[in-house]
Amino acid sequence: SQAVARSVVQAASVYLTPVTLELGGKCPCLIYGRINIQAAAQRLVWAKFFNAGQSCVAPDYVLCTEATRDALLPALSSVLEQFYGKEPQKCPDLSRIVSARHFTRLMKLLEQTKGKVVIGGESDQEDKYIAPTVVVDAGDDDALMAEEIFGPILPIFTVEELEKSIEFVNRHEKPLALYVFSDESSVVKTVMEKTSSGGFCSNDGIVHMTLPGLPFGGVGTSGWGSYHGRWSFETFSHRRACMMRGWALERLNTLRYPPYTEDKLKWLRWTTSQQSSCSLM
Amino acid sequence: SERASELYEILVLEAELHLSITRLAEWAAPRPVEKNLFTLLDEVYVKPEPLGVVLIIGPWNYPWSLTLLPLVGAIAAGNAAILKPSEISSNSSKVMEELLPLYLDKDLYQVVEGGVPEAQELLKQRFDHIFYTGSIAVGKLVMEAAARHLTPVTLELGGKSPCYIDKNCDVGIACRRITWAKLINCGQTCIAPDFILCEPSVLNRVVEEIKKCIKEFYADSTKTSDDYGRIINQRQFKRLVGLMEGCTIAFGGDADEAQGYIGPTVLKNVTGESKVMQEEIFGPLLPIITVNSVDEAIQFINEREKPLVLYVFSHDNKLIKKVIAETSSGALVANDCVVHFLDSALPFGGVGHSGMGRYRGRHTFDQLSNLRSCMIKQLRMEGLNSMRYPPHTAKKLSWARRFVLSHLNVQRLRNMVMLAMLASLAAFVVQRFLR
Repeated sequence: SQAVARSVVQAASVYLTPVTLELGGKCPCLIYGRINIQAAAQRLVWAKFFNAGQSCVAPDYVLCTEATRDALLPALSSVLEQFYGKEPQKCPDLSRIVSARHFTRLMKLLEQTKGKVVIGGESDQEDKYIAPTVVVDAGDDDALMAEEIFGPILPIFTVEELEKSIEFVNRHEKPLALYVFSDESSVVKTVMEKTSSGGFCSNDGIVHMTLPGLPFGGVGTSGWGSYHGRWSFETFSHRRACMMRGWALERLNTLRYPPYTEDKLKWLRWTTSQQSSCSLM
Repeated sequence: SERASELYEILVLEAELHLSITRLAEWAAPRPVEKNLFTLLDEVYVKPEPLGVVLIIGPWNYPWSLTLLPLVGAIAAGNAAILKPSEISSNSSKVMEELLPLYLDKDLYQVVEGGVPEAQELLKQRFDHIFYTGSIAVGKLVMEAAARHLTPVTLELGGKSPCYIDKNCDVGIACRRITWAKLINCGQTCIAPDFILCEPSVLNRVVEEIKKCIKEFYADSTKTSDDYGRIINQRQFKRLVGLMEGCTIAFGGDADEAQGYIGPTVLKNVTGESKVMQEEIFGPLLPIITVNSVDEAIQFINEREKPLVLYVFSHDNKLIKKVIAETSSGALVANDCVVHFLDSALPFGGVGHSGMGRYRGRHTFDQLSNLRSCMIKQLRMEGLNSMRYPPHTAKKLSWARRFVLSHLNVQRLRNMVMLAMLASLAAFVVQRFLR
């Protein structure tokens, strides 16, 4: 979390220890333009309710038009039933909330939200179970926007224009991941160019972090540094610059030794103006 | 002198600007990465993007190059920047504040002059990256301040850079290069050779050679030569004079407080506990410590904090490789000093107490960018995804393993396809024409 990260960096500063911080944030999921609603719903449900939403890169909230929302809700319902059956609490593939403290935290969010629960909302304290829940009609200042949800609650905000949606995203801290669902590549491109995030994935969620070739990390309050694959190797290595010079051509070195004359300087200007990064000295 | 300034400050800036301008398109382009079977049809790449606003705090020893080199990278990476040049090099700071707004966009690039109170006020603000060049003590404070906003930092600090001279090397040439490097800017360089380690048998020769070089470089008098620098201020002057206590002066030791002049001074009978070995010298004092072997030298080096750079002078490559393998430092240069800074392809930076992060050339660009991982998928081929959707079964899992754990080196595949095509073409040619 960010609070603990601040203490970690402060502690590290005493010994000048470099740090890598993998934090979190609210990962927005924008759905705009022409779209294959069924495929989008499947991927969104998988990414959001995987591990009961307790993933740092889970889509935290959705932004879309009212029409898209109206088409999305029944699709979400049917996919949830497809994945977790008619009684999700009995499904072995649906996780539980990790601790009583987090269960209470999430239930409080559901109590405090000014939005309407349209799917799910059931819970069982003893089992630490919260059903996959979708909330609509909450405002920007809602309890669900005050912190990273990290649970199986998906708020959907309706914003008619893509531009305003991007502004909504940019009003908040840079997230660990940003998602866009659209069949229109111009929509994807616009969102990518006008926002900033640690990672970006179009038309899916979470999977960008399964590729070890991609650096996994945040930016701003979502983190500092990155890892996975070779990036991990680099993170935990010191890339030592090594230069082995020869003993020959010592005469050439007189160009750099004092006394400094205009002639010497002319030659040196010429060597350093070369495009290649090798030095003649 | 004016020429020395151009040599050590301006030339390197010009080279960096030239490099950045010509290579910017290459650096800023999306960088494709290796895919697996699962992501075969997707576009996957790392896209460098600006971080936002960068704070650059510059040092006083090379106020122009060390403050503006990071600025070049910051601008190349698409950031806005605030510069806080050192108040100790007050003339440079004033000129920078006057000139920069005349040539750069005033809204995006600003210069804030001032000392400690101004720096502290700046550090309370939120930046997207802080680039600090200076002392270890202040580096710690910068990082602590950055912690509040979780701002990443690059710290270019210092330390005592050891210089080992193998007794079997060409001591004359070695000493010439060392003397040159040590006396640039009167020793006030973070990568100057701080102290020498050598065997007792070459001690006198080293001292003699250094004396010879000084005569060669500065004619008869360093005091009157245009090319010999001065100590930046009274405080540093007094500090340096104090460091000479407790050692034998092999030669030099002249000091003139009114002029801020300290002559090149070689110290012997120095041990690890001497005053001059307790802090980075940053002046024209060169202690020589005797060690009986390279192993003893390595041990001496490893007992101390990791330096910004380590110098080894030897004709024996095995010895050089031994030093590389058994020590750690920001950089290592064999058989010369300081010049590694001129190669903009080499990442310049420290490790441990000598700093964190690196810059120069493309490295500055990468350091001041957000390297954003991007995966562009389409909503097609949804059938393939069923292996990851619940309900989870063993069969789905085994398919998933196959897809995710596959390693697809697209370049190698492409090469193999080309080879196959070439082979079939060759076979065709042989069949048709050469039968």
